[in-house]
Amino acid sequence: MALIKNKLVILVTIIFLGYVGWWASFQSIVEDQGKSVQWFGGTYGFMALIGAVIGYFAAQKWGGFKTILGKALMFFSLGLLAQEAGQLIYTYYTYGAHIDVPYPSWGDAAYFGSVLLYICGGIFLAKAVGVKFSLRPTKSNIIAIGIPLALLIASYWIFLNNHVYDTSQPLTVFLDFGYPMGQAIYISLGLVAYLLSIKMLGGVMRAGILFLIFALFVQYISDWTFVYQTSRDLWIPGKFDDLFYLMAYFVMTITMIKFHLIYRDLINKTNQVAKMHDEAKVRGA
Amino acid sequence: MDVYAQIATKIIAQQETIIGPVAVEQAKAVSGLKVDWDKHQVTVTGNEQSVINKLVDQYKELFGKISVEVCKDAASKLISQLPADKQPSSLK
Repeated sequence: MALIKNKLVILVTIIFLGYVGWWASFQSIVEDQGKSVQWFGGTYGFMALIGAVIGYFAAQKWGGFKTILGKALMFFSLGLLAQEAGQLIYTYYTYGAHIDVPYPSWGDAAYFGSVLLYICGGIFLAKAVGVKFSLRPTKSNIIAIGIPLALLIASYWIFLNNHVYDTSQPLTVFLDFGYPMGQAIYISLGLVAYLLSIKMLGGVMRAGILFLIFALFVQYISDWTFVYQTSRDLWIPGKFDDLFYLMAYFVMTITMIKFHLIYRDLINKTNQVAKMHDEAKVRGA
Repeated sequence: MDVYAQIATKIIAQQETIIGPVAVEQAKAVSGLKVDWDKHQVTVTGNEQSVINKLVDQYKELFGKISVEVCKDAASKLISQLPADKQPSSLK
């Protein structure tokens, strides 16, 4: 309930709903690719920017790069920032420089960077919930190895089977392979973290961790849809995939606020207990 | 430093690697535990087993059973130095 009543959550939700309303308003004419679609595509990454800033401060509260949870939050925040950078670069190519977006481009540096950052975030998320990787054939290790392997094979089969590689451009080949594989890795890490910790995970962090895994899942849906549509020439700017990305940024932003609130509540509670101890000592003296 | 204080220090340090300064704040809220983390000094007073159990419970409120496992892992080498009847129940 504290999350729903939080002023920052309300503000972020209003911005999100505003964008959703805007997106819905041009759906009947989206094929025309008018100004509204262009402006929407160029600005909804603002949600990711908000999430990145909030996430940075949340990560700092949890120890920043010095702690496992801090690193997880920091990498997810940087992932959001990279998404926004990718969106701005693509917008510049399309509407500023008026050229077809080259592939690969600086936009891919940002987008693929975000995939790598999400993988790093996923590794530290898994570590935070106590996932340990070893070569012993336990049930946990079968899950930890089996899920990524299955997703990698599925991704390869869906996106890269019969794919014609342009071997004269190694970077293009790398990205053709790297996008779906990288995305399969970060969602695998999220799934492994979920499956291996769900029975043990509790306490005040449970909601935050589950939010984080859900945010990763929504991001994966968006990335998967984008790669699927572009690989089959089905992608149109301003359609459902942009809405999915907007939702992914929104869920990740709410997750970062959640970690802020968990920290604040913990510190308040700890201060209250310390105060009670001090009062008890004074009474004892 | 006695074994209980060493156990508490190890647990706090291990939790600190996961959640940072919050781990120290949580430890300071445990009655019977005096923490001077700048010097990495921890003093356990009163029923030492009970204080360690309270410390583990304090972290359990954060991540649930996962926190307990982290505490057990941190204390595993030291716990064997205590006779069975002196070992905190939360770490068995």
